[in-house]
Amino acid sequence: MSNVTEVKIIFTGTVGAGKTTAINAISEIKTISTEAVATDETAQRKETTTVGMDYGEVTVDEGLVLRLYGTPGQRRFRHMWEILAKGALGFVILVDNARPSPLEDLSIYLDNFKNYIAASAAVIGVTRTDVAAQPDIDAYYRYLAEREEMHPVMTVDVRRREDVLMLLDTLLLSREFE
Amino acid sequence: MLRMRFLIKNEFGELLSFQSQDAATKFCEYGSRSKQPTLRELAQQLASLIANPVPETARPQESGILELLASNLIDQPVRLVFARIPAFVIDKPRRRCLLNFSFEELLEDLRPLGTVDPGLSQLEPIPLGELAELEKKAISTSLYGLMWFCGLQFSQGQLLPTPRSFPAFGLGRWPDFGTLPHTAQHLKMATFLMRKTASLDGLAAGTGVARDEAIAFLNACFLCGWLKRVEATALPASAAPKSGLRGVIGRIRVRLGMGG
Repeated sequence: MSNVTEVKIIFTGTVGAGKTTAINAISEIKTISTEAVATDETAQRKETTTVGMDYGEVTVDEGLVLRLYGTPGQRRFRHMWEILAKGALGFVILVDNARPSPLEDLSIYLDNFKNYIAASAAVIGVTRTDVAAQPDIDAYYRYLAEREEMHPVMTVDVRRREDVLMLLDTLLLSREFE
Repeated sequence: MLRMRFLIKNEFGELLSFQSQDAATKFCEYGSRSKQPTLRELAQQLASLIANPVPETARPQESGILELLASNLIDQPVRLVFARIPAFVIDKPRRRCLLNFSFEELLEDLRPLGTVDPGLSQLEPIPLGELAELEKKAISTSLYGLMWFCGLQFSQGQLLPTPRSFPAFGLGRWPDFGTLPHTAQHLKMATFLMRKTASLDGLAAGTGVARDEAIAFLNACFLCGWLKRVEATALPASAAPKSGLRGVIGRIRVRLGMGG
């Protein structure tokens, strides 16, 4: 029987927000992605998209493995989200600020993972603010306040490993100090 | 105290400048005896200004850029004219600075000041119309960046007067560490104060951060408007994680090279 403890962190968010890239930045193994050629509205944003999930991992030590899962972005794969979410240490929600309604996008993930987030923690990474500066971070906090929720919101470039680490560290510390 | 110049326009539209309150008082004395009605009116207006100074709480208690930024002198859009650094505009309602030079240059100019009086010579309110004009030609940068920088750089181990009166602290939101320069300790303190409330000593003890660094962090958060007054700490600020996670989080953080 294995004595290895497994900890799971979920990366979720809209199509093109950078979930696969974020996992790539951290994982010590080549990220396993189940991608396919995009055929719907996603095709306008990227050539391929994750239709199942992404998977990466970090061996913390011989007794602990951190597993990183990326959910498929499209809502039609929603059934997958629940399966992945069970038992997660926390959630990294990536929001593409250049999409038409980033706050509405965010609400989809906050609603969908509501119970799981309540039992763990979430951190929100806002991407592509260089393309679209609005809504700004203040607007995200106002929106969260309206929902009577509070999660860390940070602008990130998930191509930068240090930005992804910052999100993860915030998530881990949120659990540590709860 | 910050040096401020008294300014008033005379009947010819000229801007009269008084280096001190004494000079302004003399103008009032002479002006009130003048045969020119306009001058008498101006003297009366100025006397009224002098008789109704800015409330004491609105005045910076000590000299220095930090105290200026913490005061309500900048609650409205104002142009700050300094002796030692270039002038710039703070538009607090819109949380921005308007500059004729880069933000990095401003920080470089501010850096050597420390707690030295920056030599504020004028503080001009800016009408909305002028603000709209300035927007077109000035560099606009987030006010949070300036506040954060000054809080971290210039605290010198002293909490600002207002947060000094807080029994305990909480945070209203996380600083945007995606844009604000930070250390692992800042991230730790922010998350701690989002999850718990604590006194200064409780924050330092709960996060393992040095007291001076905690003070600088609290001042920076206060200047940015994120620090909350908490009447009392209900529970001792303990950093102990839930038993099920004990040690796991620390091991992951160490493996991923997260400091602190």
